Amino acid sequence: MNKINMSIRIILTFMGALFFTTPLLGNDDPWLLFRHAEDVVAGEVVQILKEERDLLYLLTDGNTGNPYQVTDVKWWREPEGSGTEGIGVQVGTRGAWLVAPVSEEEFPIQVSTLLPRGFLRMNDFTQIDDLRMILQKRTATAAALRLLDSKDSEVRRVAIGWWKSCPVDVALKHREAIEEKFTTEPDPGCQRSYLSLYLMRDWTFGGAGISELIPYSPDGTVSWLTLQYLKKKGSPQQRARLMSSWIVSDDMAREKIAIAFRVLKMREAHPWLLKAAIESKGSFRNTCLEALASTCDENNMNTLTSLLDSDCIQTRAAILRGLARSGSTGSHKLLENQVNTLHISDPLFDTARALQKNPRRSLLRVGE
Amino acid sequence: MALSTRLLTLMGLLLFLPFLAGCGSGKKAIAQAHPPLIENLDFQVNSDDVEVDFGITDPTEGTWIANLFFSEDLGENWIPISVPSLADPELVLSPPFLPVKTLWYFRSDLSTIPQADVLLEIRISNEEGEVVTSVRSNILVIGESEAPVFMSLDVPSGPVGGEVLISGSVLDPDADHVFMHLEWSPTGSAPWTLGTLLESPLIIPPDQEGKASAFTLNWNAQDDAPNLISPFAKIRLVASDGGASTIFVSNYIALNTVPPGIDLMTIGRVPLELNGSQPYSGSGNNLVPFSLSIPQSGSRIRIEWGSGNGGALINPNSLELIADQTVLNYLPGENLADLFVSDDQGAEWTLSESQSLPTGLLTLTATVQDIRGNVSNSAIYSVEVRSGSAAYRPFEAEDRWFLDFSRDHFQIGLLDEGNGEIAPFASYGGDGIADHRQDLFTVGLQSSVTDGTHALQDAIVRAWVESETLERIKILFAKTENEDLQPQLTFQTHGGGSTSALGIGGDDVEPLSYALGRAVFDARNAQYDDEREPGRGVFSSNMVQYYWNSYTFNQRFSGVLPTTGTPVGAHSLDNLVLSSGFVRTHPSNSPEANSRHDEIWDAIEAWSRLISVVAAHEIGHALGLCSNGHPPFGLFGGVTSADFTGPFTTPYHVDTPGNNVMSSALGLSSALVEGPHGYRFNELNQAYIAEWIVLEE
Repeated sequence: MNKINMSIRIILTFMGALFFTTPLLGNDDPWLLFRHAEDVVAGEVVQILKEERDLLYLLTDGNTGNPYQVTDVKWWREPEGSGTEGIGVQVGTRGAWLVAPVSEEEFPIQVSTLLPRGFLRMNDFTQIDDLRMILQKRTATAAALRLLDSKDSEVRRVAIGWWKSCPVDVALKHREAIEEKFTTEPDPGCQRSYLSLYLMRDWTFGGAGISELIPYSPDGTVSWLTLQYLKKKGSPQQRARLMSSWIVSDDMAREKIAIAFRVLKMREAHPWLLKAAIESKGSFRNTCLEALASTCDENNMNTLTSLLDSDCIQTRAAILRGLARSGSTGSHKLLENQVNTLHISDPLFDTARALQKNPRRSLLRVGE
Repeated sequence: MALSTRLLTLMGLLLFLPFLAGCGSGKKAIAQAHPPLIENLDFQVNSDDVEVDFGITDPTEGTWIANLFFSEDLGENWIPISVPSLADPELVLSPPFLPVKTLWYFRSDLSTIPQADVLLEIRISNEEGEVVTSVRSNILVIGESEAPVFMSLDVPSGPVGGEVLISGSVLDPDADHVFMHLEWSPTGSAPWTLGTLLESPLIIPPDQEGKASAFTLNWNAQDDAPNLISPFAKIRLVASDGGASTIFVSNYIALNTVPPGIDLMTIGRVPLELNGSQPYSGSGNNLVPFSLSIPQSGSRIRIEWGSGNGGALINPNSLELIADQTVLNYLPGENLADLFVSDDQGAEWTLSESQSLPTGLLTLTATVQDIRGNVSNSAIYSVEVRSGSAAYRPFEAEDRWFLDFSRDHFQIGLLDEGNGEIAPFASYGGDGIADHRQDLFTVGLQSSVTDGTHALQDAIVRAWVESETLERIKILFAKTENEDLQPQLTFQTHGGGSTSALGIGGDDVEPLSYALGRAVFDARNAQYDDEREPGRGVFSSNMVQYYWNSYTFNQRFSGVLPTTGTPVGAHSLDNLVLSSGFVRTHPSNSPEANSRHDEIWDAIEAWSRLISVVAAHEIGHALGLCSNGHPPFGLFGGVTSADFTGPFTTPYHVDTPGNNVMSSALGLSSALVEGPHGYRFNELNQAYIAEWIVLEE
């Protein structure tokens, strides 16, 4: 794409000027980088040369032990080398390397032959043909299915990514196979990829157990993606599972569930949210109060009105945030009443008005 | 009431304790001259006298003198038996050491006749008068003994643990001294176990005026019954004057001796694995010890505690914290608790600039109790205190960061790739238009890269994006109304008065790179930094190119993307929803207007969240995050071997559990995570920013 048209002049200009710099990369999904590769090769590092700002890797075919050479490329160049762009592997490392698009520059020797951070840990080199197929062929369903069983989690994530963007309609039997693999997938990174796949494809996941990723996944992003799934496609059973999870969870897990109650507008959770708000402290308490207020209906208005009379500024701020984020007319009316009755000297005066105007804005964190 | 055999044995043991422990001169004599052994001891109480029988064995065949003493207060005080009361005023013992039999006519010696409970002691001296050994009798009951009576008792019935206080009063009809002990049972019935009393042995003298004697005793329930939860426990108190005893059995007592725990003693909120309390795994599975260094002033020492499983709430006022050095005016061993602010979850001491710790290794030891008095195990934590001079302080001077959205190094736009697909591009070379504005254009958050028909709406949205980014950066650095991690660090969106700057917008100069940002690592923030030149700062062009057509990107931007939605300004409702008078929660809003407002804010929120996380990361590098190696030299940057670092740990980056700002890779989806599981600086980085720790060279 546009990347390969960059001028070599730029590289020369900035060579040597970027020592001790620390680039930052995206980590959402290795597929997002994989899709930009021209090719993919597999090999084991047998020698590394350090240039002024790049690393050069000599790879061997892990199966034959012979130097790995594609066309005229023998030394594979990683820009900005070890510890910066992130490949930074050592001799003996085995994996799949993402080959950069061929440069049309005047001095191709200076141009990277690997995508920055273009590396997947891979021990089984027999997978390389399947990786090439999903990179180059848009209808490589058999290869993509096989790769879902890879023992290397990054390879699995690339395969899951392929299913997100493949142009063909996915057959029912393939969807069933994918769902089975998702069900047994332990790696949080792969779970992220599966959740994105289901969201992007608008697929339905039947099992109620998916809800438990919200409170119990150690990866906050998995929890968040699961919540997005429940918001978009969640079944009553999956929502009900959140209720049963609440009972057996600790406060840390319950805080995630309370956020889910708010996002999913689960009014049935009110008794528990109120109980937790009474019994707990700190961030968890505020989250429960906000969820309580944002899911309220006419029956809860008295409770919220009482809480708004609290002497505790954190309590009032949480209720105001919840009211603002609620979609109900009654909540917004209560918020309006508060705005109209707050004295200008009230520490929440500005906060309440700002929330009323736009609940999405980041506010001075009064009361948090 | 008769004493049980078991109780007599117990009392005998207790009364013999002084002898078993040895007395000063006797012990010395034993070591030097092999004193005689006293054998065949027997005391026979008659109506007017006590017959005393004993014998001695002495292989050295020396000459010894025996004297008799008596005690009416169960061994508290000893009085020599008066000469007229003895059948043999002086017992000289010499070979061949025949059995000794003598009589003590007690009536003239004892004050409480006709009833008395006494102890007799035989002391053997050498010819120089030095006592070399002694032996005591059990309690000798003279006359008909009446048991003591409990006149009052106050035994707690509610949940108890730790040390249980029992008070009351006891009266002995014979005006004898009363010996008391406690037994307990978790089930309220036999078997009973002897309880440990702090006052042991507990001997209560008679009141001079013949009234009941008050007493208190403290039963160490936690030591006797550790980790016990029983609603059916009982105690029984046994009071004895030696001749007779009384037993009181309590009602059921809810006993809970589950101790509280000190979960963490640390600096700031640095978790156990990062605070030097335990080594981490280095290369080759070697365990690598390390420790934190803190400045003399300004650090924050924190203790976190919690109830044991099934245990009671913590008593925040029960903290006992001692240091091994003199701290302020507190000597080693003195309780420092009043320096701390406590609540039910922990205690914290933020040292002011006027409070200074002594330099060198400082070891703190803490315990806490629950409301029942159960005491936690001692928590011990050591840190190295350094002078914290200016050279070691990253924020000795104020650092005001300018977030510059105006830089221009690229031409940026959308490109028709010829296959029906539109894709973003960025080509090196300034074009007179701010890169960030062009990036916003590619995602539909600007209608145009120049001021055109919708200039006002474009300006409003740009201002919102920039202010949201600023606010979120402040939140990531914990700068809110209620908290400010580092007052010397500030952020602004204008250049006036700034000391450092971060460029936001445009692409990386590195061909093929999808890096989201880059900055120079500045150890300990030694200088002001300008991260605006090409190849540095936040590369929002790459954010668009990398995430283009991914799920989260589409979800957040599809409403305004030029390819799938309507860019801001171009929608028929934008005049309304972008106006200053639009109130999103107003009941009269149309659903369409609210929906359009939300579409725009979905995109603004996603953009500002990711940009702010990347900006905080790059500013973090320029402030000295994350120095390589372990504390006190580094912040675990590049330490890939530790079991708490994840795959995105590279030099100057650390990937500790959770969504970590200083990980070497960040994500759009993760940037959208709400609550405590969203992006944040790890606690060690926070401690560095707050200058609660110092890094050494």
